[in-house]
Amino acid sequence: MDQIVVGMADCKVGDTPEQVLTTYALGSCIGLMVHDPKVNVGGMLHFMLPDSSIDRNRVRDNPYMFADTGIPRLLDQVCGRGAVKRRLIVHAVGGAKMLDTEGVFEIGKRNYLAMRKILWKAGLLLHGEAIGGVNSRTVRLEIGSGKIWLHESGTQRELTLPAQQKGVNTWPTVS
Amino acid sequence: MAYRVLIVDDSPAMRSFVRRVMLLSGFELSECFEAGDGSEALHLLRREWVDAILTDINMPGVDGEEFLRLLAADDVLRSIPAIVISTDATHNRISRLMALGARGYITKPFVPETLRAELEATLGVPL
Amino acid sequence: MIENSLSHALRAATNDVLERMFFIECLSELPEFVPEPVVVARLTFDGDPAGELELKISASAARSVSADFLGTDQADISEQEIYDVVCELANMICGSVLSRVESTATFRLSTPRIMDSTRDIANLSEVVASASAPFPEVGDSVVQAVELGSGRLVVSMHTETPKWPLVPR
Repeated sequence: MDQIVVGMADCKVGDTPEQVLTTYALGSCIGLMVHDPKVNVGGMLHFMLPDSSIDRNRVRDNPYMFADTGIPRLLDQVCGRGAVKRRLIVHAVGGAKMLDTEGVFEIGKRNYLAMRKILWKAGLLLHGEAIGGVNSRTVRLEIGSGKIWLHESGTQRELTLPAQQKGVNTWPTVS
Repeated sequence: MAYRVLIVDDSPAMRSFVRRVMLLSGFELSECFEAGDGSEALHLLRREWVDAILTDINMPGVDGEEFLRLLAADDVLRSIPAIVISTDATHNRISRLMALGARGYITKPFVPETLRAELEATLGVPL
Repeated sequence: MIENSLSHALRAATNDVLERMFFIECLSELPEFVPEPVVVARLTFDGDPAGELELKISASAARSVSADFLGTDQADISEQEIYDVVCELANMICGSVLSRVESTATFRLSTPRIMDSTRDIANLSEVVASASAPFPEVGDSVVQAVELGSGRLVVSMHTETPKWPLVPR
C-alpha cells in the first residue's frame, strides 16, 4: 500500500491500484472524494472554507483552501489523469458543527452548501456522504477499488457499501 | 439502454430541473417529452410510448391526481410507472396517489439524489 | 408581526426550499440596504384557510439563483427563464408552508404570476409594512426576509381566518 496523505487545504490524485489517499481531522472542513471506477483514477480534496472572495491573496498561495477554487482544480486534475467526469463516483465527508478557529459555528454547513452548488453546476451528484454531526472524521480512499473507509468516534466503516446505493429510496446516506 | 420519459408539470423551470437530474443520474434519454398538464400529457400518450412518467400534482386543467386516475383506468397506460413530484406532503394526498398506482412520491423541495433513488428503484440502476 | 405558527412554517419552508433545491444558505443578518430592482411573483391558494403569497427577489439574485437552478450560465439565461424559476420558487415555498400547517383541507395553488418587475425595493421596514398593505386586515399576515448573498428575498403570506386552529407539524 502506498499511502498518500492529503493535508488541510490540500488536494491529491492517485492513478495506481496500490495508492490510498487519506485525510485527517475533518471537523467543519470537508473531504471531497471522486473516483472513476473504469480507469481507477481518483482524487481527494480537503477544503476549509466555502468562498475565496473573502481573501483573494490566500487563493494565490493555496486555492485548495476554498470550495470554489479547489473543486474545479480537483476535477481538472483527475480528468487530466484519465478520469471521465460523467463516470465519477462522488462522496463527501465532514462539515461538522464545530466552533472552529474562525469562531464560527456554521462553517460546516456553509462548506457543504457551497460544495453542493458547485458540484450541481458542474453536473455532479453525490453517491454517498457523512456530513454534519459534531465529530471529527478521518477518511481513506482506495484507488484500486474505489472503496472509502470512514473513521469516526473510534469506529470504522465502509462508506461505499454497495447495499446502500442500489434500490434504496432514501437520501442522504449519512453516518 | 435509452429511455423514453414524460415529464408533466406546469412549471417549465421544474421540467428542466427534473430532466437535468435524470441525465446527471446516468439515464440516457432517447426521448424526453414534456407536458404542462394532465390533458396535454394524455394527448401525447395516445401517440407515443414512454417507459416512465414523472408528474406534478398542482396543475391547471387536468391536475396530477385526475391524470393518475385516468391512467389507472386505461388498460394500456396503467402499466407505465409514474412517479409523483409535488409540494403537497399531506398524508391524505400521498395515500390517495399511492392507491391510484403511483410507484413513487417525492416531496418538493428535494435534493437531486432523492429523485435519482426513486428513478433507480423504478427503472433500475443505469449501466 | 406576532410570532405564530404560520410565521414559523414560512421561515422553515423558505429555508428548506432554498437549501435543498438551490443549495443556498439563508443569512438572517441583513446588511446595509441599497435600492435595487426586483422581480415579484404572486400566487393565491384556496383551501382552509385560503390566502395569497408574494415573493420579491432582487433582480441580481433572481438571475444568479435561476441560472444556478437550471445549470446554465448567468450570461445565457433568458428573462423568461428567470421568471419561470422565480415563479416555481414562490410555488414551492407556498406549497411547503401549507403542507406544514395541519389542516383537513387539500390546498389548491394558483399558477404564480410575475408582477411589475421594475419597482425598486424601498427600505426593508417599508417593504415589511407594504407587504401586508395589499392584503385585507382580517386573518394572518407573515413576512420572511432573507439575505441570499447575491441579493435579498422577501416572502409575504396572508391567510384568511381558518375555520380550524392552525398547528405546525
